[in-house]
Amino acid sequence: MPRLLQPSPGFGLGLRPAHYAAFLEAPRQVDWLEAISENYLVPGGKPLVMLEAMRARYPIVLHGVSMSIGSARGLDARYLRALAALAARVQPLWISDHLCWTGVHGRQLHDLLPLPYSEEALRVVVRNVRQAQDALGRRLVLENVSSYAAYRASTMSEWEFLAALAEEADCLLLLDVNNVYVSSVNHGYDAARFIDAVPAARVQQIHLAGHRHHGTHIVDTHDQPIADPVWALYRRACERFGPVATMIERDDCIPPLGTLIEELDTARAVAAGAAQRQAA
Amino acid sequence: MSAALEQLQARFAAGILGEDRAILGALCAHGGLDAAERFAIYRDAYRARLIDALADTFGHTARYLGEQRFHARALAYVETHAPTATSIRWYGAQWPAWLRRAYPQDAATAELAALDWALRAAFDCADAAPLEAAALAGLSPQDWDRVRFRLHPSLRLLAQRWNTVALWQALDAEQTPPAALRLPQAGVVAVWRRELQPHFRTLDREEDAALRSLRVGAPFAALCTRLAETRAPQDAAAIAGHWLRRWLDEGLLIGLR
Repeated sequence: MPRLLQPSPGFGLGLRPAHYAAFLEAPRQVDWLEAISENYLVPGGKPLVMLEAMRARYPIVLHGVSMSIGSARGLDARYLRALAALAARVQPLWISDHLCWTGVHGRQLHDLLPLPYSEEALRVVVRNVRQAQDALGRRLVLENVSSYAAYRASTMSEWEFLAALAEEADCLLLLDVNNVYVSSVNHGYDAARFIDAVPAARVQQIHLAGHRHHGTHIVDTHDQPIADPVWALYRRACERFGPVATMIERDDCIPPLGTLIEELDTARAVAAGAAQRQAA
Repeated sequence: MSAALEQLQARFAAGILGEDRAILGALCAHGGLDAAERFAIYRDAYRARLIDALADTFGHTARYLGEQRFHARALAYVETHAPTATSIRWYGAQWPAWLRRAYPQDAATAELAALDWALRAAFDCADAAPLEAAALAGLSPQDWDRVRFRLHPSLRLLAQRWNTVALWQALDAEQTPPAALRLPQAGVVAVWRRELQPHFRTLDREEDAALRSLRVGAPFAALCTRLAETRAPQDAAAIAGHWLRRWLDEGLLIGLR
């Protein structure tokens, strides 16, 4: 039985086409890159050439947005085959997607839609994770999403659901600290409780990102610098989990690469501070 | 085993795609937002995301229409076209044809959208190494009688009834586009990818017919014979030779068959 987690490759960024040229121009203070799987599930051309070029320079993680691991009807075998073929080509450190559903009955809603945290949904997701892990030949890494609605059918908390899922399906977790914060405000729970309840032994990666506060609720927009409460939660996560692969997602209002690397340096400093406090 | 979850997901989707509000009964209210306000975040995000995807794929068309008209047409399309492909990359495949049907008085915009779509399709189409001119050096006269060419998989031939190329080029240079004008004679634009870069250029009718015949497997000699039907033999040979060099230079040919 291989060990559960791969060692942390350090501090990474989401690979965005706006930064291809900057990454090709010179080595950057970025330890690894997370590529959106769907951007490269194309027949050919520049996307795949660029991904190969990045792979020659940095370790790559594949992060998907449309596996729809929470689909009641099960997973799309064609999608899994295409993803497995991309993984064979790219040799990612790991493959992640989101704990959500994205479509039903042939309609793709292209959003990370929330699941009820119920026994029924847990059985569905466990079944689907097993299907994905069989198809990909490796453990899947699943991310908690930002959500704006909750279901009456839920019988457990999101963190209880995540912990049960990781254990029963034997999968790993991508803890999106921004999503924890966004959902905690939207649903009125204590974000620290979420961080404290996540099974530490299964956290392979951490996401950081920015959001927009609308007064009554927060939307996960990835178009802003990381907010202070999210940094505070990240500090707590670092203290609890130790060194975990951490990266910043930016999908809109994308600044120059150097600006994101400065933000990544803040993450490095927060993690280092947490490590020092633990050692003291 | 998962019937309730499937029904919940179907209701959620119905609420996003249309006016069905059955899903609201399954949602909790909390804090300052009731279930309808919470669900509206998903409804609005769905529309905004698909409109953004159309604006990304059809950048020139969006600029041509201007923000308000583009948004209105994109929203009308989104309301009637639920995505079916796993990747949002393919959303908008029917947009040019839908524009043509929905706005028959504005066929130029539909043609511009078809050009945007073909360029995006060429961008990430399957790879194919171009045929090297050296590969033709050893062909005997008998070989030339039957040689057939394989065309780059990205090649699309688009009918042009409007001055779409002039519109596209002005928009691409961020200049004010000229007025849409119907061409005195319908033309054709070839769209393809050379190395990593999509290209396009207008074709005359003869070259369009020649590429179409190659695409369905006609030998190069047949295309020369057709040219000779309407031209002096030396002119026909010169034109065929010119095309061949150009197609090789442009990476339109990828092999012999």
